[in-house]
Amino acid sequence: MTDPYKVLGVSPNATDEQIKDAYRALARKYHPDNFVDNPLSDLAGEKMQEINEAYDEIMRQRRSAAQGGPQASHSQSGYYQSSQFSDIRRLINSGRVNEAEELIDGIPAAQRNAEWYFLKGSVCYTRGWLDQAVSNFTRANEMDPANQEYKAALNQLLWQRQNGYAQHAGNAQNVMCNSCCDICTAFYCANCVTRCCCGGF
Amino acid sequence: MFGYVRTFDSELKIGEFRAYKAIYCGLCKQLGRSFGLFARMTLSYDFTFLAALAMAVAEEEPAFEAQGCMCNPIKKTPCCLENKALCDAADCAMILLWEKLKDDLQDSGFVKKLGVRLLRPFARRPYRLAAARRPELARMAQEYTAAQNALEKAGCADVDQAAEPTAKLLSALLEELSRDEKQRRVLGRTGYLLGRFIYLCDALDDLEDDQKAGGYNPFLLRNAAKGMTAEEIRQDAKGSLYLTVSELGLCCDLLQLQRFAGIINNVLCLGLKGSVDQIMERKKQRERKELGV
Repeated sequence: MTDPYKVLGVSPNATDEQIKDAYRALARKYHPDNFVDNPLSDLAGEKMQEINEAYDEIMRQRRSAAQGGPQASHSQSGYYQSSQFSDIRRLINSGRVNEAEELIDGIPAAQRNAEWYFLKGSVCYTRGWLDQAVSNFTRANEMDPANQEYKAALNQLLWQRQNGYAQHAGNAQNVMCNSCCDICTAFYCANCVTRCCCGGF
Repeated sequence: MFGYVRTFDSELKIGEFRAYKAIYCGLCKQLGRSFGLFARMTLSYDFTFLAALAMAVAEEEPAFEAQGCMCNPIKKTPCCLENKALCDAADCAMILLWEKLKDDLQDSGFVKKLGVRLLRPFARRPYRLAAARRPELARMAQEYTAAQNALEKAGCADVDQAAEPTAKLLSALLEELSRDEKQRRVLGRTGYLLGRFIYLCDALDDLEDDQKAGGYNPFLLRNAAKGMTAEEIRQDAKGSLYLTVSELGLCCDLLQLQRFAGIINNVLCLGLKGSVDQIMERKKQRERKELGV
């Protein structure tokens, strides 16, 4: 494994508090919430894992007593809510956008519900067709205003349109409230909270 | 291509600023070495960034040396010495310049056309030299111009589609900078978004001119039937650009940079946004002036 201090960008002499700060800043940067539907989300996930492992490693070393510490296993499951287009979701999540788009476009106009527009938007976003992504997410929200997933996707892009930079996931508590609908996110949140608040001690 | 890809100087560290300037000087001299004096006069920030990014992801360490320059013969300044990144960026600049001139010849006014006709003979030899070294890129650039012309002729009102040719060209161009599969994916998306940014930024810049002259502009066409004011259309265009810039910020976090991380981050996260803000500010001032007089 590479030097865990290097991964977090801190000196081996750094205090626990400095390490925690560096960990928190990096975790915010590579937080899965920032990369939902992004074609590079797996790379961000790897980066996140690397950071988590580096933090765990440092904390383990520093605890000197050779106990394992609270190490949760990394589950990488995606959406779990019921879906009419689960096959399409699976294709998008595994980065096979062309196939996903073919299936999406093959669905007759009469069956195009809110989820259809959401998925179409996701495909556009992955392609870099950002403006069409916004209009499809908008449509999905108009058709199903109660859906948190669609709302989160639209709000993220609208925020970026307004501000010109991506909203980093914010502090751990914040994230917790925003999106508990995603197992993966929830796991990371729990992870952040235990690390940030309890510091693993 | 248009000088929109630049640094946000006030946030650069002094060392980063010097390194960036040295790359700028290095590229200028490389253009001279590869193509002669005319090419040096086409030096731009866009290709300086391309060279900086290529060096940032390369294994090879770039070398610097204090050198004199004919613009400032007395004082020697740090200059990046010849390397693959500089040569490639120079070739690329000449190939894209040729395509741009070709494009201008088709869709600009009489005066500009005359200027382009005068410039073309000077750009021909550099283009041939560069295209001989990078035949694949020359072919892609040709296809890109053709695709762009077809879209414009068809009056494409979809901003995403209008930006696609430039985006794809830059995506392919940046992907070539690395052999690592993961890095190539990040570079590919960075290039796609950067190309999209450059195209849309130019469209925003030309908004008023196109409106007056009836030229092609995706932002005008998108909002044609909505009865929006000039300011509303500008804000709409700015939103699309901000969205693109923020996505670039996310890509930037995933690039594995060997060096110059400060410069690359500065350009992608602050410099591009600065270009948009500058254009918006300029338009606002021009409008105020017109109202005042």
